[in-house]
Amino acid sequence: MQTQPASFDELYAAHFGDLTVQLYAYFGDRQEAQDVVQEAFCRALARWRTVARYDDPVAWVRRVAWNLALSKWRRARTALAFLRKQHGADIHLDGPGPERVALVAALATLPAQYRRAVVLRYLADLTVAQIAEREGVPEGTVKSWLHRARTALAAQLNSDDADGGAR
Amino acid sequence: MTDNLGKLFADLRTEELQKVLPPGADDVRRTVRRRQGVAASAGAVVAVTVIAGAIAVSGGSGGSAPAATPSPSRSEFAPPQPGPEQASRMVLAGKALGDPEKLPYVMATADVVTAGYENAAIDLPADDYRLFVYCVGPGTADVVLKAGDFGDNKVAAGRVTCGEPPVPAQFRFTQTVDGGMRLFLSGDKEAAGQAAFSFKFVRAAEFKESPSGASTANANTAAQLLTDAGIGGVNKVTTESNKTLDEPRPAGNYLASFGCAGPGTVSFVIRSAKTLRDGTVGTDGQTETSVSHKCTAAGKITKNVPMALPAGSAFTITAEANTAARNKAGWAYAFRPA
Repeated sequence: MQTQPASFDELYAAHFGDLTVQLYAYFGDRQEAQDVVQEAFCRALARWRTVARYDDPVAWVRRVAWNLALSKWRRARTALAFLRKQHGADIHLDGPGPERVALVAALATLPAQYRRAVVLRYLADLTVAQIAEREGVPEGTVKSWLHRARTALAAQLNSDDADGGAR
Repeated sequence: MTDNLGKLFADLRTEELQKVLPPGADDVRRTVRRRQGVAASAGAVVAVTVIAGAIAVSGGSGGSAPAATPSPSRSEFAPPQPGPEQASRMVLAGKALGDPEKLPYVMATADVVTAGYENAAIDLPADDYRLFVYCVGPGTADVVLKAGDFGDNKVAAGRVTCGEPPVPAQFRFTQTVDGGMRLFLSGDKEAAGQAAFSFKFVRAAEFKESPSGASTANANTAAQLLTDAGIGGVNKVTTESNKTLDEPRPAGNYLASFGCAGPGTVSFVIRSAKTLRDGTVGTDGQTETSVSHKCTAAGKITKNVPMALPAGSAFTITAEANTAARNKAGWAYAFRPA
Protein backbone atom coordinates (compact mmCIF):
# COMPACT_ATOMS: atom_id res chain seq x y z
CA MET A 1 0.00 0.00 0.00
CA GLN A 2 1.26 3.45 -0.80
CA THR A 3 1.69 5.81 2.07
CA GLN A 4 1.51 8.85 -0.15
CA PRO A 5 -0.38 8.98 -3.42
CA ALA A 6 1.79 9.40 -6.49
CA SER A 7 1.00 12.27 -8.78
CA PHE A 8 -0.36 11.49 -12.20
CA ASP A 9 2.89 12.63 -13.80
CA GLU A 10 4.93 10.38 -11.53
CA LEU A 11 2.75 7.40 -12.29
CA TYR A 12 2.94 8.11 -16.00
CA ALA A 13 6.71 8.52 -15.98
CA ALA A 14 7.29 5.41 -13.90
CA HIS A 15 5.00 3.01 -15.71
CA PHE A 16 4.33 4.09 -19.28
CA GLY A 17 7.38 2.26 -20.57
CA ASP A 18 6.84 -1.00 -18.71
CA LEU A 19 3.17 -1.17 -19.63
CA THR A 20 4.01 -0.46 -23.25
CA VAL A 21 6.55 -3.27 -23.34
CA GLN A 22 3.99 -5.66 -21.90
CA LEU A 23 1.40 -4.72 -24.48
CA TYR A 24 4.02 -4.80 -27.21
CA ALA A 25 4.86 -8.37 -26.31
CA TYR A 26 1.16 -9.14 -26.56
CA PHE A 27 0.45 -7.29 -29.81
CA GLY A 28 3.81 -7.55 -31.49
CA ASP A 29 3.28 -3.93 -32.49
CA ARG A 30 4.99 -1.17 -30.59
CA GLN A 31 2.80 1.66 -31.83
CA GLU A 32 -0.40 -0.19 -31.02
CA ALA A 33 0.92 -0.97 -27.57
CA GLN A 34 1.79 2.65 -27.01
CA ASP A 35 -1.63 3.81 -28.22
CA VAL A 36 -3.42 1.47 -25.85
CA VAL A 37 -1.30 2.49 -22.87
CA GLN A 38 -1.72 6.16 -23.66
CA GLU A 39 -5.47 5.65 -23.86
CA ALA A 40 -5.44 3.88 -20.51
CA PHE A 41 -3.64 6.86 -18.94
CA CYS A 42 -6.19 9.19 -20.55
CA ARG A 43 -8.97 7.28 -18.83
CA ALA A 44 -7.05 7.35 -15.57
CA LEU A 45 -6.61 11.11 -15.73
CA ALA A 46 -10.29 11.60 -16.58
CA ARG A 47 -11.15 10.09 -13.20
CA TRP A 48 -7.93 10.78 -11.38
CA ARG A 49 -9.60 11.88 -8.17
CA THR A 50 -10.93 8.34 -7.84
CA VAL A 51 -7.99 6.42 -9.26
CA ALA A 52 -5.45 8.30 -7.15
CA ARG A 53 -7.15 7.02 -4.00
CA TYR A 54 -6.65 3.40 -4.97
CA ASP A 55 -3.96 1.46 -3.13
CA ASP A 56 -2.36 0.58 -6.46
CA PRO A 57 -3.34 3.02 -9.22
CA VAL A 58 -1.00 1.38 -11.70
CA ALA A 59 -2.96 -1.85 -11.34
CA TRP A 60 -6.03 0.08 -12.47
CA VAL A 61 -4.16 1.50 -15.46
CA ARG A 62 -2.78 -1.93 -16.35
CA ARG A 63 -6.24 -3.46 -16.16
CA VAL A 64 -7.68 -0.73 -18.36
CA ALA A 65 -4.86 -1.12 -20.87
CA TRP A 66 -5.34 -4.85 -21.08
CA ASN A 67 -9.09 -4.55 -21.31
CA LEU A 68 -8.68 -2.02 -24.08
CA ALA A 69 -6.32 -4.42 -25.80
CA LEU A 70 -9.06 -7.03 -25.80
CA SER A 71 -11.88 -4.68 -26.65
CA LYS A 72 -13.47 -3.41 -29.78
CA TRP A 73 -11.60 -0.18 -29.20
CA ARG A 74 -8.42 -1.79 -30.37
CA ARG A 75 -9.86 -4.48 -32.60
CA ALA A 76 -11.44 -1.83 -34.77
CA ARG A 77 -8.04 -0.34 -35.34
CA THR A 78 -5.72 -3.24 -35.64
CA ALA A 79 -7.60 -6.26 -36.87
CA LEU A 80 -5.76 -6.45 -40.14
CA ALA A 81 -2.34 -5.94 -38.66
CA PHE A 82 -3.00 -8.48 -35.96
CA LEU A 83 -4.24 -11.11 -38.38
CA ARG A 84 -1.16 -10.60 -40.45
CA LYS A 85 1.01 -11.24 -37.43
CA GLN A 86 -1.04 -14.24 -36.34
CA HIS A 87 -0.17 -15.80 -39.65
CA GLY A 88 3.44 -15.01 -39.06
CA ALA A 89 3.86 -13.01 -42.22
CA ASP A 90 5.63 -9.76 -42.75
CA ILE A 91 6.81 -9.23 -39.22
CA HIS A 92 8.90 -6.13 -39.26
CA LEU A 93 10.50 -5.05 -36.04
CA ASP A 94 12.78 -2.14 -35.85
CA GLY A 95 15.77 -2.94 -33.76
CA PRO A 96 15.46 -5.98 -31.52
CA GLY A 97 18.05 -8.67 -31.93
CA PRO A 98 17.11 -11.92 -33.60
CA GLU A 99 16.30 -13.66 -30.33
CA ARG A 100 13.83 -10.99 -29.32
CA VAL A 101 12.29 -11.00 -32.78
CA ALA A 102 11.91 -14.74 -32.47
CA LEU A 103 10.39 -14.39 -29.00
CA VAL A 104 7.81 -11.85 -30.14
CA ALA A 105 7.00 -13.94 -33.18
CA ALA A 106 6.67 -17.05 -31.03
CA LEU A 107 4.39 -15.21 -28.61
CA ALA A 108 2.14 -14.25 -31.51
CA THR A 109 1.48 -17.91 -32.23
CA LEU A 110 0.15 -18.59 -28.73
CA PRO A 111 -3.55 -18.56 -27.91
CA ALA A 112 -4.50 -15.18 -26.48
CA GLN A 113 -5.00 -16.42 -22.93
CA TYR A 114 -1.63 -18.15 -22.83
CA ARG A 115 0.00 -15.08 -24.29
CA ARG A 116 -1.59 -12.81 -21.71
CA ALA A 117 -0.61 -15.09 -18.88
CA VAL A 118 3.00 -15.35 -19.94
CA VAL A 119 3.34 -11.62 -20.55
CA LEU A 120 1.78 -10.76 -17.21
CA ARG A 121 4.00 -13.30 -15.52
CA TYR A 122 7.33 -12.50 -17.15
CA LEU A 123 7.00 -8.83 -18.02
CA ALA A 124 4.51 -7.46 -15.50
CA ASP A 125 5.95 -9.68 -12.76
CA LEU A 126 2.52 -10.61 -11.52
CA THR A 127 2.18 -13.72 -9.40
CA VAL A 128 0.05 -16.63 -10.48
CA ALA A 129 -2.51 -15.57 -7.89
CA GLN A 130 -2.63 -12.03 -9.28
CA ILE A 131 -3.03 -13.28 -12.83
CA ALA A 132 -5.77 -15.65 -11.72
CA GLU A 133 -7.62 -12.82 -10.03
CA ARG A 134 -7.22 -10.57 -13.05
CA GLU A 135 -8.43 -13.24 -15.45
CA GLY A 136 -11.16 -14.50 -13.14
CA VAL A 137 -9.96 -18.10 -13.23
CA PRO A 138 -8.52 -20.52 -10.63
CA GLU A 139 -4.80 -20.43 -10.01
CA GLY A 140 -4.50 -23.95 -11.37
CA THR A 141 -5.80 -22.73 -14.71
CA VAL A 142 -3.15 -20.05 -14.85
CA LYS A 143 -0.45 -22.56 -14.00
CA SER A 144 -1.73 -24.74 -16.81
CA TRP A 145 -1.71 -21.81 -19.25
CA LEU A 146 1.84 -20.91 -18.24
CA HIS A 147 3.03 -24.47 -18.58
CA ARG A 148 1.49 -24.84 -22.03
CA ALA A 149 2.80 -21.43 -23.04
CA ARG A 150 6.32 -22.28 -21.96
CA THR A 151 6.14 -25.59 -23.76
CA ALA A 152 4.93 -23.94 -26.94
CA LEU A 153 7.47 -21.15 -26.70
CA ALA A 154 10.27 -23.60 -26.09
CA ALA A 155 9.24 -25.55 -29.14
CA GLN A 156 9.04 -22.38 -31.20
CA LEU A 157 12.38 -21.14 -29.97
CA ASN A 158 13.92 -24.57 -30.27
CA SER A 159 14.73 -24.31 -26.64
CA ASP A 160 14.96 -26.85 -23.86
CA ASP A 161 13.20 -24.37 -21.69
CA ALA A 162 9.93 -26.20 -21.59
CA ASP A 163 9.28 -26.41 -17.92
CA GLY A 164 9.79 -24.41 -14.83
CA GLY A 165 8.08 -23.33 -11.72
CA ALA A 166 5.62 -20.61 -11.18
CA ARG A 167 5.46 -18.58 -8.08
CA MET B 1 10.79 -18.81 -13.93
CA THR B 2 13.07 -20.74 -16.14
CA ASP B 3 16.35 -19.02 -16.69
CA ASN B 4 16.51 -18.96 -20.46
CA LEU B 5 12.98 -17.79 -21.06
CA GLY B 6 13.28 -15.36 -18.19
CA LYS B 7 16.45 -13.94 -19.67
CA LEU B 8 14.81 -13.55 -23.07
CA PHE B 9 11.94 -11.58 -21.55
CA ALA B 10 14.33 -9.51 -19.44
CA ASP B 11 16.36 -8.66 -22.53
CA LEU B 12 13.19 -7.84 -24.45
CA ARG B 13 12.11 -5.49 -21.67
CA THR B 14 15.52 -3.79 -21.54
CA GLU B 15 15.70 -3.30 -25.29
CA GLU B 16 12.12 -2.19 -25.73
CA LEU B 17 12.18 0.26 -22.85
CA GLN B 18 14.88 2.16 -24.71
CA LYS B 19 12.64 2.44 -27.75
CA VAL B 20 9.47 3.57 -26.03
CA LEU B 21 8.79 7.24 -26.67
CA PRO B 22 5.98 8.29 -24.36
CA PRO B 23 3.76 10.99 -25.88
CA GLY B 24 3.83 12.54 -22.44
CA ALA B 25 1.52 13.40 -19.59
CA ASP B 26 0.76 16.76 -21.20
CA ASP B 27 -0.53 14.93 -24.25
CA VAL B 28 -2.82 12.96 -21.94
CA ARG B 29 -4.09 16.23 -20.45
CA ARG B 30 -4.79 17.72 -23.86
CA THR B 31 -6.71 14.62 -24.90
CA VAL B 32 -8.80 14.56 -21.74
CA ARG B 33 -9.51 18.28 -22.00
CA ARG B 34 -10.78 17.79 -25.54
CA ARG B 35 -12.98 14.88 -24.56
CA GLN B 36 -14.41 16.49 -21.50
CA GLY B 37 -15.15 19.60 -23.46
CA VAL B 38 -17.08 21.93 -21.25
CA ALA B 39 -17.30 20.97 -17.62
CA ALA B 40 -19.40 23.31 -15.57
CA SER B 41 -20.14 23.44 -11.92
CA ALA B 42 -23.25 24.93 -10.49
CA GLY B 43 -23.16 28.69 -10.59
CA ALA B 44 -19.97 28.92 -12.59
CA VAL B 45 -19.88 31.14 -15.61
CA VAL B 46 -18.63 28.99 -18.43
CA ALA B 47 -18.46 29.96 -22.04
CA VAL B 48 -19.96 27.29 -24.23
CA THR B 49 -17.34 26.26 -26.69
CA VAL B 50 -17.27 23.51 -29.22
CA ILE B 51 -14.45 21.10 -28.73
CA ALA B 52 -13.71 18.16 -30.94
CA GLY B 53 -12.38 15.08 -29.31
CA ALA B 54 -12.89 11.58 -27.98
CA ILE B 55 -12.38 8.56 -30.09
CA ALA B 56 -13.79 8.43 -33.57
CA VAL B 57 -13.56 4.91 -34.88
CA SER B 58 -14.52 3.98 -38.40
CA GLY B 59 -17.48 1.68 -37.92
CA GLY B 60 -17.03 -0.27 -41.10
CA SER B 61 -20.74 -0.66 -41.55
CA GLY B 62 -21.35 1.67 -44.39
CA GLY B 63 -20.74 4.92 -42.59
CA SER B 64 -19.40 7.69 -44.70
CA ALA B 65 -17.25 9.15 -41.97
CA PRO B 66 -13.72 9.92 -42.98
CA ALA B 67 -11.53 6.93 -42.32
CA ALA B 68 -9.88 7.23 -38.95
CA THR B 69 -6.19 6.65 -39.01
CA PRO B 70 -3.85 6.50 -36.08
CA SER B 71 -1.39 9.26 -35.87
CA PRO B 72 2.14 8.03 -35.26
CA SER B 73 2.59 10.22 -32.25
CA ARG B 74 -0.87 10.39 -30.76
CA SER B 75 -2.85 8.09 -28.59
CA GLU B 76 -6.14 8.35 -30.40
CA PHE B 77 -7.67 8.51 -33.79
CA ALA B 78 -7.64 11.88 -35.34
CA PRO B 79 -11.21 13.12 -35.17
CA PRO B 80 -12.76 14.01 -38.50
CA GLN B 81 -11.65 17.44 -39.57
CA PRO B 82 -14.83 19.47 -39.92
CA GLY B 83 -15.43 21.35 -43.14
CA PRO B 84 -17.14 24.73 -43.04
CA GLU B 85 -20.61 23.20 -43.03
CA GLN B 86 -19.81 20.70 -40.26
CA ALA B 87 -18.04 23.43 -38.28
CA SER B 88 -21.13 25.57 -38.53
CA ARG B 89 -23.26 22.66 -37.32
CA MET B 90 -20.87 22.09 -34.42
CA VAL B 91 -21.37 25.69 -33.36
CA LEU B 92 -25.14 25.19 -33.46
CA ALA B 93 -24.83 21.92 -31.53
CA GLY B 94 -22.71 23.71 -28.94
CA LYS B 95 -25.23 26.53 -28.62
CA ALA B 96 -28.02 24.00 -28.18
CA LEU B 97 -26.43 23.02 -24.87
CA GLY B 98 -27.86 26.23 -23.48
CA ASP B 99 -26.72 28.61 -20.82
CA PRO B 100 -25.04 26.81 -17.91
CA GLU B 101 -26.02 29.74 -15.71
CA LYS B 102 -29.63 28.74 -16.17
CA LEU B 103 -29.12 24.99 -16.19
CA PRO B 104 -25.71 23.90 -14.89
CA TYR B 105 -24.37 20.79 -16.49
CA VAL B 106 -21.83 18.42 -15.07
CA MET B 107 -20.19 17.76 -18.40
CA ALA B 108 -20.80 18.68 -22.00
CA THR B 109 -18.99 18.37 -25.29
CA ALA B 110 -19.59 18.56 -29.02
CA ASP B 111 -18.11 16.94 -32.10
CA VAL B 112 -18.78 15.78 -35.64
CA VAL B 113 -20.96 12.67 -35.88
CA THR B 114 -19.09 9.56 -37.00
CA ALA B 115 -20.15 5.99 -37.64
CA GLY B 116 -18.65 5.08 -34.29
CA TYR B 117 -17.81 7.48 -31.46
CA GLU B 118 -16.89 6.63 -27.91
CA ASN B 119 -16.27 9.05 -25.09
CA ALA B 120 -14.81 7.39 -22.03
CA ALA B 121 -13.78 10.59 -20.29
CA ILE B 122 -16.98 10.78 -18.28
CA ASP B 123 -16.64 10.63 -14.53
CA LEU B 124 -19.88 11.18 -12.63
CA PRO B 125 -20.61 11.12 -8.91
CA ALA B 126 -23.48 8.90 -7.84
CA ASP B 127 -26.72 10.81 -8.48
CA ASP B 128 -29.79 10.97 -10.69
CA TYR B 129 -29.06 12.52 -14.08
CA ARG B 130 -30.53 13.52 -17.35
CA LEU B 131 -28.54 13.17 -20.54
CA PHE B 132 -29.39 15.48 -23.41
CA VAL B 133 -28.08 14.65 -26.87
CA TYR B 134 -28.45 17.17 -29.70
CA CYS B 135 -27.73 16.51 -33.36
CA VAL B 136 -27.59 19.17 -36.06
CA GLY B 137 -27.72 18.20 -39.72
CA PRO B 138 -29.01 15.20 -41.66
CA GLY B 139 -29.72 11.64 -40.52
CA THR B 140 -29.98 10.00 -37.15
CA ALA B 141 -27.58 8.69 -34.54
CA ASP B 142 -27.91 5.87 -32.05
CA VAL B 143 -26.91 6.69 -28.50
CA VAL B 144 -25.83 4.19 -25.85
CA LEU B 145 -24.65 5.09 -22.37
CA LYS B 146 -22.84 2.46 -20.35
CA ALA B 147 -21.81 2.52 -16.72
CA GLY B 148 -18.28 1.52 -15.80
CA ASP B 149 -15.05 1.59 -17.68
CA PHE B 150 -15.72 -1.72 -19.39
CA GLY B 151 -18.47 -4.21 -19.91
CA ASP B 152 -21.96 -3.85 -21.22
CA ASN B 153 -23.92 -2.28 -18.39
CA LYS B 154 -26.25 -0.10 -20.46
CA VAL B 155 -28.04 2.55 -18.48
CA ALA B 156 -29.60 4.41 -21.40
CA ALA B 157 -30.05 3.84 -25.10
CA GLY B 158 -32.04 5.44 -27.87
CA ARG B 159 -31.84 7.46 -31.04
CA VAL B 160 -31.50 11.13 -31.72
CA THR B 161 -32.90 12.54 -34.92
CA CYS B 162 -30.71 15.25 -36.37
CA GLY B 163 -32.29 18.52 -37.44
CA GLU B 164 -32.06 22.27 -37.41
CA PRO B 165 -32.90 23.43 -34.82
CA PRO B 166 -32.02 20.24 -32.94
CA VAL B 167 -34.59 18.53 -30.77
CA PRO B 168 -32.71 16.75 -28.00
CA ALA B 169 -33.04 13.09 -27.18
CA GLN B 170 -33.40 12.89 -23.42
CA PHE B 171 -32.44 10.03 -21.18
CA ARG B 172 -32.92 9.67 -17.44
CA PHE B 173 -30.58 7.44 -15.52
CA THR B 174 -29.12 6.85 -12.09
CA GLN B 175 -25.40 6.57 -11.45
CA THR B 176 -25.45 4.21 -8.50
CA VAL B 177 -21.79 4.64 -7.52
CA ASP B 178 -19.15 7.24 -8.29
CA GLY B 179 -17.25 6.27 -11.40
CA GLY B 180 -16.70 6.25 -15.11
CA MET B 181 -19.24 6.07 -17.87
CA ARG B 182 -18.92 5.68 -21.60
CA LEU B 183 -21.08 7.28 -24.23
CA PHE B 184 -21.29 5.70 -27.67
CA LEU B 185 -22.83 7.52 -30.60
CA SER B 186 -23.21 5.91 -34.01
CA GLY B 187 -24.37 8.05 -36.89
CA ASP B 188 -26.20 6.55 -39.85
CA LYS B 189 -24.97 6.99 -43.43
CA GLU B 190 -26.52 10.44 -43.73
CA ALA B 191 -25.27 11.73 -40.42
CA ALA B 192 -21.75 10.29 -40.29
CA GLY B 193 -19.20 12.88 -41.27
CA GLN B 194 -21.91 15.45 -41.96
CA ALA B 195 -23.93 16.15 -38.86
CA ALA B 196 -22.63 17.50 -35.57
CA PHE B 197 -23.70 16.53 -32.10
CA SER B 198 -23.40 17.72 -28.56
CA PHE B 199 -24.40 16.19 -25.27
CA LYS B 200 -24.63 17.28 -21.68
CA PHE B 201 -25.22 15.65 -18.33
CA VAL B 202 -27.46 17.51 -15.92
CA ARG B 203 -28.19 16.56 -12.33
CA ALA B 204 -31.88 15.70 -12.14
CA ALA B 205 -32.25 17.86 -9.05
CA GLU B 206 -31.08 20.91 -10.98
CA PHE B 207 -33.28 20.29 -13.96
CA LYS B 208 -36.17 22.62 -14.40
CA GLU B 209 -38.21 21.88 -17.45
CA SER B 210 -39.90 24.76 -19.24
CA PRO B 211 -43.67 24.60 -19.56
CA SER B 212 -44.78 23.39 -22.96
CA GLY B 213 -47.19 25.29 -25.18
CA ALA B 214 -49.75 22.53 -24.72
CA SER B 215 -49.57 22.74 -20.96
CA THR B 216 -49.94 26.53 -21.07
CA ALA B 217 -52.92 26.26 -23.41
CA ASN B 218 -54.60 23.65 -21.21
CA ALA B 219 -54.02 25.78 -18.12
CA ASN B 220 -55.86 28.57 -19.96
CA THR B 221 -58.70 26.15 -20.79
CA ALA B 222 -59.00 25.04 -17.17
CA ALA B 223 -58.98 28.66 -15.99
CA GLN B 224 -61.62 29.61 -18.50
CA LEU B 225 -63.89 26.80 -17.28
CA LEU B 226 -63.68 28.15 -13.73
CA THR B 227 -64.29 31.70 -14.92
CA ASP B 228 -67.30 30.56 -16.95
CA ALA B 229 -68.64 28.96 -13.77
CA GLY B 230 -68.66 32.37 -12.17
CA ILE B 231 -65.50 31.97 -10.13
CA GLY B 232 -63.11 34.90 -9.91
CA GLY B 233 -59.48 35.25 -8.93
CA VAL B 234 -58.40 32.19 -10.90
CA ASN B 235 -54.72 31.14 -11.02
CA LYS B 236 -53.32 29.17 -13.98
CA VAL B 237 -50.63 26.49 -13.50
CA THR B 238 -48.66 24.30 -15.91
CA THR B 239 -47.55 20.71 -15.26
CA GLU B 240 -43.87 20.55 -16.24
CA SER B 241 -43.28 19.64 -12.59
CA ASN B 242 -45.36 18.83 -9.54
CA LYS B 243 -46.10 22.04 -7.72
CA THR B 244 -47.27 23.16 -4.32
CA LEU B 245 -48.57 26.70 -4.14
CA ASP B 246 -49.22 28.66 -0.97
CA GLU B 247 -52.32 30.79 -0.52
CA PRO B 248 -52.08 32.86 2.67
CA ARG B 249 -55.52 34.10 3.68
CA PRO B 250 -57.16 35.55 6.74
CA ALA B 251 -58.93 33.05 8.97
CA GLY B 252 -62.40 32.21 7.78
CA ASN B 253 -64.54 29.98 5.61
CA TYR B 254 -63.67 29.54 1.97
CA LEU B 255 -64.78 27.83 -1.19
CA ALA B 256 -62.02 26.09 -3.16
CA SER B 257 -62.37 25.41 -6.86
CA PHE B 258 -59.90 23.72 -9.14
CA GLY B 259 -59.79 21.89 -12.44
CA CYS B 260 -57.58 20.62 -15.23
CA ALA B 261 -57.59 20.19 -19.00
CA GLY B 262 -55.58 18.00 -21.34
CA PRO B 263 -54.42 14.37 -21.19
CA GLY B 264 -53.65 12.21 -18.16
CA THR B 265 -54.55 12.54 -14.52
CA VAL B 266 -53.85 15.36 -12.10
CA SER B 267 -54.21 14.72 -8.36
CA PHE B 268 -55.03 17.68 -6.14
CA VAL B 269 -54.44 17.93 -2.41
CA ILE B 270 -55.45 21.04 -0.49
CA ARG B 271 -54.13 21.49 3.02
CA SER B 272 -54.35 24.12 5.69
CA ALA B 273 -50.86 24.70 7.03
CA LYS B 274 -49.52 26.94 9.74
CA THR B 275 -47.80 30.14 8.79
CA LEU B 276 -44.29 30.20 10.22
CA ARG B 277 -42.72 33.10 12.09
CA ASP B 278 -40.81 34.17 9.00
CA GLY B 279 -44.04 34.46 7.02
CA THR B 280 -43.56 31.29 5.01
CA VAL B 281 -45.97 28.39 5.10
CA GLY B 282 -45.25 25.05 6.72
CA THR B 283 -44.77 22.12 4.41
CA ASP B 284 -47.31 19.92 6.13
CA GLY B 285 -50.77 20.47 7.43
CA GLN B 286 -54.26 19.12 7.70
CA THR B 287 -55.66 17.77 4.45
CA GLU B 288 -58.88 19.60 3.60
CA THR B 289 -59.64 17.77 0.38
CA SER B 290 -57.95 15.31 -1.94
CA VAL B 291 -59.28 14.68 -5.46
CA SER B 292 -57.88 13.09 -8.64
CA HIS B 293 -59.12 14.42 -11.95
CA LYS B 294 -58.91 12.43 -15.14
CA CYS B 295 -58.46 15.44 -17.32
CA THR B 296 -60.11 15.88 -20.71
CA ALA B 297 -59.50 18.16 -23.64
CA ALA B 298 -62.64 20.13 -22.75
CA GLY B 299 -61.53 20.29 -19.12
CA LYS B 300 -62.94 19.11 -15.83
CA ILE B 301 -63.48 21.14 -12.67
CA THR B 302 -64.44 20.69 -9.03
CA LYS B 303 -65.96 23.81 -7.65
CA ASN B 304 -66.94 25.38 -4.38
CA VAL B 305 -65.54 22.84 -1.93
CA PRO B 306 -66.14 24.41 1.50
CA MET B 307 -63.25 24.56 3.92
CA ALA B 308 -62.27 26.55 6.98
CA LEU B 309 -58.93 28.22 7.55
CA PRO B 310 -57.79 28.73 11.17
CA ALA B 311 -55.96 31.85 12.26
CA GLY B 312 -52.27 31.91 11.50
CA SER B 313 -52.63 29.47 8.64
CA ALA B 314 -52.56 29.34 4.85
CA PHE B 315 -53.92 27.03 2.23
CA THR B 316 -51.50 24.98 0.18
CA ILE B 317 -52.60 23.33 -3.03
CA THR B 318 -50.50 20.54 -4.46
CA ALA B 319 -51.02 19.07 -7.92
CA GLU B 320 -49.23 15.96 -9.13
CA ALA B 321 -49.43 15.14 -12.84
CA ASN B 322 -49.00 11.56 -13.95
CA THR B 323 -46.77 10.66 -16.91
CA ALA B 324 -49.52 11.17 -19.46
CA ALA B 325 -50.33 14.58 -18.05
CA ARG B 326 -46.75 15.74 -17.44
CA ASN B 327 -46.11 19.01 -19.24
CA LYS B 328 -49.15 18.46 -21.43
CA ALA B 329 -52.10 19.04 -19.14
CA GLY B 330 -52.69 22.33 -17.34
CA TRP B 331 -54.65 23.26 -14.25
CA ALA B 332 -56.20 26.20 -12.47
CA TYR B 333 -57.55 26.99 -9.03
CA ALA B 334 -59.19 29.66 -6.94
CA PHE B 335 -60.01 30.28 -3.28
CA ARG B 336 -62.79 32.69 -2.44
CA PRO B 337 -64.60 33.59 0.77
CA ALA B 338 -67.72 31.52 1.39
